Amino acid sequence: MEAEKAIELYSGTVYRLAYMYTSNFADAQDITQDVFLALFCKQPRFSCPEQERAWLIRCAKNKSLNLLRSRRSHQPVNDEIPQTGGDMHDCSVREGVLRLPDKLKSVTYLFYFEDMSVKEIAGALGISQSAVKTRLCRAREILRSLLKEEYDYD
Amino acid sequence: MIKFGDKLKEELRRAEPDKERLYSMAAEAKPGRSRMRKNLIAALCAVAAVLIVVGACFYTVMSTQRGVRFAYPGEQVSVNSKDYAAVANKIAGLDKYDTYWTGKYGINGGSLAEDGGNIGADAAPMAPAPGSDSQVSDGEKDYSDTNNQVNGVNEGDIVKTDGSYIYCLSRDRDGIFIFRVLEDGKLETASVTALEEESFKDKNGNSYSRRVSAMQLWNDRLAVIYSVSGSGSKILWQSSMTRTEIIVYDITDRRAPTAVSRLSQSGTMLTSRMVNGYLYVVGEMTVYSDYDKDDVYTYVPSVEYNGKNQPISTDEIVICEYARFAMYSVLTGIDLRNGQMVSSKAVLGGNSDVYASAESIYLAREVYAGAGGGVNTELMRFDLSDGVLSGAVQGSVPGRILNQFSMDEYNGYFRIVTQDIITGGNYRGNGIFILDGGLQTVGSIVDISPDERIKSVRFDGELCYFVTFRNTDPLFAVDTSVPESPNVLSKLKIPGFSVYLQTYGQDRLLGIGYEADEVSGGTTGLKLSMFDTSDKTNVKELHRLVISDTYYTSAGNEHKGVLADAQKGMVCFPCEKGYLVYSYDDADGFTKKGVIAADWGFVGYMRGLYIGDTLYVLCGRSIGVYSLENMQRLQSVELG
Repeated sequence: MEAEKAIELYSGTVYRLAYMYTSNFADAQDITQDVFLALFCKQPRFSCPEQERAWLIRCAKNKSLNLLRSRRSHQPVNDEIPQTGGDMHDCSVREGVLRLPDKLKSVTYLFYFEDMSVKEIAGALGISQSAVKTRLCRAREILRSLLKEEYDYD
Repeated sequence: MIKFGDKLKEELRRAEPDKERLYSMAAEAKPGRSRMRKNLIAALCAVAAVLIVVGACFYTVMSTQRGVRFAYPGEQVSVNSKDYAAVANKIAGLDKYDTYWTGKYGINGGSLAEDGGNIGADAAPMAPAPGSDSQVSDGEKDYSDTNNQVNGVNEGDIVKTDGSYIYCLSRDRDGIFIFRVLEDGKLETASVTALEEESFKDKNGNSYSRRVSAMQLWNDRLAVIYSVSGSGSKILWQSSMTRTEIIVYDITDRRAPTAVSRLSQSGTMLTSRMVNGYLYVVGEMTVYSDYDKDDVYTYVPSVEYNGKNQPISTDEIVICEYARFAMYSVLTGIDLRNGQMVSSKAVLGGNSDVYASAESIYLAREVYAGAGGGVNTELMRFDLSDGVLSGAVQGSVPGRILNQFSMDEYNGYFRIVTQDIITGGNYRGNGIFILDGGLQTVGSIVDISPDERIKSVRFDGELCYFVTFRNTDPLFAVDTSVPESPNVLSKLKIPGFSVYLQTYGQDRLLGIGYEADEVSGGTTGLKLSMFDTSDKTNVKELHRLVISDTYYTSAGNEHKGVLADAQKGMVCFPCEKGYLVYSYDDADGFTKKGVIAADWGFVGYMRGLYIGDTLYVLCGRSIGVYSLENMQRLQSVELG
């Protein structure tokens, strides 16, 4: 697909996904530039739009994790469950997702913001469908305890 | 209760990237930027002025020749749309790209996705590059060809040589430069031929933009291939007006190339192959949702020659069962001797990769296999003979290929290496398949290194070498001499992975790729490997060199940028810093001879070639001329 078309259709998704990982928009912009630069330079051939989108999502996720890893240098990856304390109650849903462990962020974002199905998410992230469902379950549990408001998670 | 998804969307609704910066980056990364037309005389003076004279004096003889002007796209032959009823019916039932995401056709299947990058790799390559033996120079020929996959099957490129002249398209595509190679290796300009116009209008006032793609060279003929697309917003018109143009020049007098023929075919250019003066051009035409079923030209590919444009006839159109999107592969055969179009074919179903031997051309297409979630590679073969494309044999294998190097034809059998083969549950394996003349699978291995990704493939006669990688790199050697039972002869586990493989002289296999951390799989620099393949059951890594101050090479995606020649003992390839030149021998391994600095933007367009003892490196806007012996720069020639 033409470069401009790809930017128009997918740059928002890539940007927001990168933001979910890095929690700041400047990093998200840098990562988005890197992802599309990789797309333009490598020019992989896709047989359908889902494949192109999946490629971009995976690329965004990898670059985001790389950035986080290099920042944290020798610190472990964020696997911790955030503590629910008194001052968490006014947390917006966006902040709630940002506080999730890294592994749960992408499935949550892709499911609830991009409206992708479990099957599509599994394809995009290269994990099994059951892994997607498990992670969504965990994410919902954490969000329920983190967020003051009750939401419909279906 | 408020839906979580709605709340998240509301909070993130203004989270949008700076698209302007992305668009300008896209424009920079494109092969040919649109520029204002320069005054041609002024351009010639500028070119003359920057030629650098080193040592002996030389003179410049230049002439310009405009391309032949034709009305675009030529007079349309009238057609009875009833003849194309079967095609129209099929098209009506296929998905269209432009409406795909708007819910009109729904989103179904497509759960298997290609990986978008490697974990830990900042700029890791994706496609493995097959190697071919086409740069072995025999006693007669002391210059390098384009790094073709198959000896004698020429791939189009931006630079070509026949040992006496170098032919070149500049990065900004200002013209076709022909240089005469002097005794001392230096270049003298023979001619600069203006390219066809980048922007133009047809007689109805519609705007087009044109971009030169590649050249093919054969004796006194030069074929230049362009992609033309409509530059308006109406999709219907765009899909029927996107074309691939071929202009054939007679270059008997290198100082005055003359256009002898102009041909075109529907669709964008994908690739070309040239065998013994017969040029085969493969392109892809997309039909969008607003095609006009009463106007055949809007949904059937057409070919133009002798000033007339006409749709490909129904008996030359193959309708594939597996077709999902309304896209055609369009193939033409052209005789460069007289510039005539000899034959044409269209395949409704499209394709993504092409492999060609001297006798056949194969189109490969990835197609989702349905609810099971797997993907298959659908194959279509045409026989090639003196410009004629004939036959249409179909076949299919599970899994997806990496690129053209995953395929090979040998002794009447077709071999193909794929990954993402579903073998029970979530298992994804890699495999090799051997198909007979009817494209039926006669032998295969399907469970090699499950959950590892294929990084490079190279066929060498009966042998197939390929690299899979997750954290370390097994290099496999598979014997296919008995088609019914291929077997793995050896498996060498080493850190890092090669993205480009090529046989290198006798009993040697060269790998260009990346070193990687064995635990995380993250890449830590470029790596060169020379494998000893004298004992195929025990392939060993004879020499390795890690280049830790670089992080990216285009060798995996653009094999034409690699110049590796055992006879000259050289291994050259692009990296993000420029063009790297290494020498190799069995005693000392790899020795760095130099790096020719260039911008990141040129990585995909760097080319190296040698004539005698002189190395020529094309880096975007200039050609550097170097002595192979001591890498002394003899000359630098600016292009445009």
